[in-house]
Formats: sequence, structure tokens, C-alpha cells
Amino acid sequence: MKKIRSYNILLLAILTCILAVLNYVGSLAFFRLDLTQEKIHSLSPKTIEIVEDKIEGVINIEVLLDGEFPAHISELKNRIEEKLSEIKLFSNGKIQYRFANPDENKGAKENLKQQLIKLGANPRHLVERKGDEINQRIVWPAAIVYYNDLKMALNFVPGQSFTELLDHQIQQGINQIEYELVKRFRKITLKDPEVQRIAFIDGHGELDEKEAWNIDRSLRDFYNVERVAIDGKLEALRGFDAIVIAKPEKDMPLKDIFIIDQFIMKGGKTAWFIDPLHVNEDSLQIKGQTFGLDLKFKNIDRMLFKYGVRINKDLVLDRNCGPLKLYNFRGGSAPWYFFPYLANREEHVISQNLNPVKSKYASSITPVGNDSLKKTRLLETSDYTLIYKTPVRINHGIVNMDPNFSNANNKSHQTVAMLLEGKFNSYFKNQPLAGYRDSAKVRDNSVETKMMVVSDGDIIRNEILKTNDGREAFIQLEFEPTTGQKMYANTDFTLNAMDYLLGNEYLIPLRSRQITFRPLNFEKLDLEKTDWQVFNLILPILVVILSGLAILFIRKRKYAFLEANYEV
Amino acid sequence: MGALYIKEIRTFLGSITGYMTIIIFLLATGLFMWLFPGEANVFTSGKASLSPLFFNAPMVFLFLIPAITMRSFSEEKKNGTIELLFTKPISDFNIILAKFLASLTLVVLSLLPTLVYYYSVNQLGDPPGNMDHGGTLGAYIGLFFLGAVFSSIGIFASSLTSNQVIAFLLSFIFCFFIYTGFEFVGNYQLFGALDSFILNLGIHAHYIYIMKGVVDSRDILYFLSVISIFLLSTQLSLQSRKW
Repeated sequence: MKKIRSYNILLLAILTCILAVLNYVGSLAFFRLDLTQEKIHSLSPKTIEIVEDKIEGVINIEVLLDGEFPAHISELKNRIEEKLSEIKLFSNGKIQYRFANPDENKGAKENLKQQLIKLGANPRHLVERKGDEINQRIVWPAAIVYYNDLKMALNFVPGQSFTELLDHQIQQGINQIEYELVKRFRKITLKDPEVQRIAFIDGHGELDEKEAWNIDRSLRDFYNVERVAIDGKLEALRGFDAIVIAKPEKDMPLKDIFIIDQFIMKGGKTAWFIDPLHVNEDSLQIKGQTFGLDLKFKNIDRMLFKYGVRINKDLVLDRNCGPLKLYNFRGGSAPWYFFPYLANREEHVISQNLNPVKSKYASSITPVGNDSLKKTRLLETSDYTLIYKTPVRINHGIVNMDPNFSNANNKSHQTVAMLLEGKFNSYFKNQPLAGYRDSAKVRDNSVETKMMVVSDGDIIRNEILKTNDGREAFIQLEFEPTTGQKMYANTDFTLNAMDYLLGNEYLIPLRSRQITFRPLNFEKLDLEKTDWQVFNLILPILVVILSGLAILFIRKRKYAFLEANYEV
Repeated sequence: MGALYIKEIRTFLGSITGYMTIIIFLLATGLFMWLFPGEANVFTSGKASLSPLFFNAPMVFLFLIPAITMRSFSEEKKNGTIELLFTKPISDFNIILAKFLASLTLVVLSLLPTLVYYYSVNQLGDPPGNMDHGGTLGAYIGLFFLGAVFSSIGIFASSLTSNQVIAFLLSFIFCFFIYTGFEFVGNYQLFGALDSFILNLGIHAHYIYIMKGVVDSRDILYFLSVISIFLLSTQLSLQSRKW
């Protein structure tokens, strides 16, 4: 008897060992079936194309994550290694990588670390909890990319230097490994004159460096970004490929208009972010009421009109909207109809597959002029939209009442961002302009070019938080400030638009494939929530009960049949 | 083996208990998904995705599957019918397999009505149909394997004792440990580099990937290995009667 027993136990032990070996072998040679619609877990065809075609020399990547880590970071490390080995397969030896540990070389340690930081790698605090003990150490969720004699850092995880590395940031990092790599490959392989230049126009009360910090930083991964005050200088925009006009507070003088106009006529690309009304948010917060006042743009308005759009002097209200902090409201915040969530209804590569874009006090855009331009509505409000004409009274009280979205006043699908493509007429066509006509070759019609008009500057304005020790923190545009949730696509939308304007559409699918936000239809939910609850709670159970009864019935029949025929 | 499998299924579906377990499963997942506010609520999540179901179902399975499997060997042991069963001309392993597959069938049957949730979420998407169908299929495959592992554990626990309540408790504890226990130990950061290995011993580390819609051969291999080990252990435990 004993023999059988030890034999059986031995058998189980051997089988377990075999299975363990099998699992180990399986971890070396594995395959993966990506069932998700966007194939987010597989290498994108675009990445393969870039690696195969666009890279000429050899890129060396040194990932600074060698060593022992807690499970979450090991996970990140493994996924990075997986991605890199996959990319390497396609690269024909053009991509090489290794893992290094910045803490290893004790001698040159501090020096080396300073160098890494200089290159742009972000060291992060890792807080380890071993029982009651709390340890803090530095980790480098980053890599250094070498190409020819160039060096560049790449951070896999979002967040700033020497801040605590949070789990959700690691998770986000895991999802974006491929995008971050391709972004860096592109940047390091572009020769300097090839890098396109973007100017943020300054001097008319536009968003300052802090307010545009987030979008500026994001654009710098792809383009050279500078701030330019035109100041009537004819050469101010020479050499730039695109300009961004970010929420001016003052009208532009005719000289500046002339320079921008001629920039466009020569094929320059333009992104307008124009708020025709001024809303004083401080006074709203303090007094509970404010007005949306006309900024009285004349030149800007006329210029855009000439190009084919009118930004109306109104505010759009949307039932599908972001929250506003309101302390005396239940929960501390309330849906604020003046912060519409925007999405695309017309298919366009810029705005498809994106999370909603959050706007603040946006106006409506109307296309004007019946010319040959191709006009695409990129962002629109929802099915339930109202328009308040200037001067708009904005009062906290609106959260307690229903502004009647579903009645006859409903002006659904207001355009907030529009793309214009084609040949534009100059603002100065058929218009004498003393002093300038002679000084430069003035063009009346543009070459083929593109521009985007957005009727809300807050789409690219990040909020600034003053910390207790007097420092300033910039809230990324992706996050809802009241809840801290990552939910908006403002940055991605703007990056997509700039890529499109500048002819780099191939970057867009890489970016938007990271995002798989599929929202529920909230309007439908508001009306039918209870129906769906009842339906889903009752129907499955009903199905079970009915099939139970059916089986019982069939059995009865069967036995009845047997009884009748065989007299059991 | 086929006959035994059909007999087992009949016992499940011929008694009220089989239906009650399915209904309790649907009630538990349904209430959390559609009625109770919280993270697992479809409306709160705001996304056209079945992930609330795939988060909830493992928890409900922790109770449900031990309840399904507890009687499989315990009852036979208690009634003494197990000796009768072993005199039948089928091998021990086939008996185990038949009982395992019958339990797994019941798990699948309880998952089928959740297709109603799938329909609803699909309809509620903006626009309707804006849902990751492939990803959902992947997650269902994950849930199936999770159910299979729990079933094999339950069968094993049931072979250890003739008391159904003890069988239930044992399999609950085993399932709980293999589902979140390793996760818990691994996250406690006690063993440094071993943590990652420990995490991967648990179901959770494998389940979360398959839940995202990636069917990875390594994860499938893991699930199949765990199932094999527990079914073989069951055989060992049953053969111990001869010792």
C-alpha cells in the first residue's frame, strides 16, 4: 500500500515539475492574440513603417531600469523589453537596446546622474512599504536614446522629476511605451533644418508661457516652438511653418494682421484659438455672477470672415458638460453647462477616436462665404445645446434649474472647431493699404494651405495651481481639475491638428490608438435609466426560470409518453 | 464518461439548487452592475464596456463555484455511492473529468444570460454599437478559464472530505488564495525580485491581461497547468482510499 502512495505522490510531483518547465519554456516562445478592436496591444503598422523606412542609422537605446524592483515597475520593465524586442525584430539591426543601472557605477555616480537629468530623464521617488517600514529610493523610468552623436532622454512615465511615482502613472506608462518610443525615434532622426517651426504669437494678451505650458511642452516633442511678438515687423514670421494664435484679449493692429495675412498667403499654417467674449471667472467665483462681455475684435473678426468663418458673439451651453467647483452645492461641484464636452460628428482623422475635448465658455462658429474652400467641422456640441447671445449673464443659480434643453430653443451640434483647406483670399484684396503695398510683394490669393479655427482659447489653456510653498504647478489638460481624473483629449486634439496642418498625418493614428474611450450615451441614460435597470435585472433571471420550466415540461412529457406506451 | 457527465448535468438541472445558484450569480452581478452605486456600476463608469462584469464576476465565482462543486465527491462519499462509482468500468480520472466538465458547464450556463448585459451596453453606447467586441470576447475567454480553475479547485476540495460544508469552505479558501492571495503577498514587497514571480503564481496577474482582450499563450498555459495540477491532486486524494 505504501508503495502505491509514494508512487502517486511522486507522479504528482513529477507532473508538477514538468508543468513548471513547460511554463518556463512557454514564457520564452509565446504568441499573443490581440482581440481588441484597435489592436492596442500589438505593434502598429505605422511603427513598423517608421522603423523600417524612416530610420537610416543605428539607434541605441539604454533603458535605465536594470535592477530589482517591486512588482509594478517590473511589469513596466517587462513590457518595455517586450516592445523593444518586437521593434528590434522589424528593424533589420537598426535598433539596439540594453538595460543599464544608473546606480551601479559607484565612482562616477553623481556626475552621471547629473548628466542624465540634463538630458531630460526624470528620476522619480519610489516609496516602498515593507511592513511598517517605509523606504524611499530613486528610480529612473526612462531611457537614453543614442543616434549618431546625438543623445536624448525619453521618459516612459508621465509626471515631473523627483515626485512620487504613482501606480496609475506606471499603468499609463505601460499603455504608451510604443508611442513614446516612436516619438523619440522621430525626434532624434530628424535633422535640424527638417524640424518644423511653430510660433506662438505674443503681444495681444495671448496666453502666456505658463498658461500654454502644457501644450507648448507637448508640441516640443515634435516641433520647434518659439514665442514671437510681431510688433509690426515684416520679417517676424519668416521661416516659420505654422503659427498659433492663442486666446488674444486685444484686437490686433492692422500691421500685425497684414503680416499674418501675408504669412497665410505664402502657405503658412494657422491655428486660431479665439474667444470673442471675456468671462471673468474670479468674479463669478466670488459673487456667483458675471457677464460674458464682448471683447470688440474688429480686425480679427473681419479677417476670419474674409477667410470663410464667423465666430459668433455668444456662448454655447451644453447638457453634456464638465463640472464647476461649487462649495454650497451637494458634492462640491455641479455640471456647468458653460463647459461643453466636444466631440466630432463629421469623420476626420484629427478628431476621431478621441476622448471628449473640454471647452470653457466656447462660442459658436458659422461658415460664411460660398467659395471653393473645404470646410470640416472638427468639434461640435451634443444633441442638447443652447445659445446665449451677448451680453451673457452667467449665474451660479443655473445649476438648480433646467435651462430647457429639449424645447424649441435647442440648437444642437454647434461647431466649435473648424478646419479650412484650400486657397484663401487675402484680407487686403481690393483694399488699399498705405505704406505696405509698396514695401513688399503683396499676394491677393494664397497658395494651397490649411487653417483651423477654434472658438475657445481655454481648450489649450492649462490651469495653474499655487502650492503652499509658493511654487506653481501646471495641471495637465487631460485632467479634470475638480476630480483629478484623466478624461480629456485637449492635448491630443491639438497635437493631431498641428500634425495635420503641417502634413505629418502619419503621427496621428499612433497617438489616438492609445485611447479607447467609448462613452455611454448620457442623454439616453437620463431618459431611460430605470428601464435599462429593470431590463437587465429581470430578463436574465427570467430566462433561467423559463428554461428551467421548459426542461421540466419536456421531462414530464417524456415520462408521460413512456408511461402511456410502456405502462411503467 | 459521457454517461456520467450527462447524469451530473441532469442532477444539476433537475433540482432547484442548480437554478438557484445561477439566479444568485445573476442577481449578485446584476445588482452591482446596474443598481448599486460604486466603481462596478456601468452608469458610474460611463463607458460602453462590460468591464464591471469582469471585475465582479470573479468575486461572485468565489462563492458560486465552491457551491456548485461542493457536492460532487463529498455527497458520494457520505452516501457511500462512491464505492459504487468506482466499480463502474471507467477510470478514476474519467470520473473526475466528467464531474469537472459538468461543473464547468454549469458555470458557462450561468454566464450565458449575461449576454443580455452585453446587448444593453452595446445599445447604450454613443453611438450604439461603439464597443470593443473583440476585447469583450477576450474577457469572456478569461472568465471561462477563471471558472475552470475554480472548478478544478472545488472538485479537489470536495474530494478531501465527506462534509459538504467543509468542502465549500476549503474550496473557497483555496480559490481565494490562488486568486488574490499571491497578489497580496507579492504586493507586500517582502521578497524583492521574487515578488514578480509570486504575483505570477496567482490567477489575478494572468486574468487582468486576458480581461483587456489579449489572449496570450503564456496565460492560457498557466490556466491549463493549474487545472491539471488540481485534477491530478484530486485523483491522488481519491486513490488514497486504497492506502
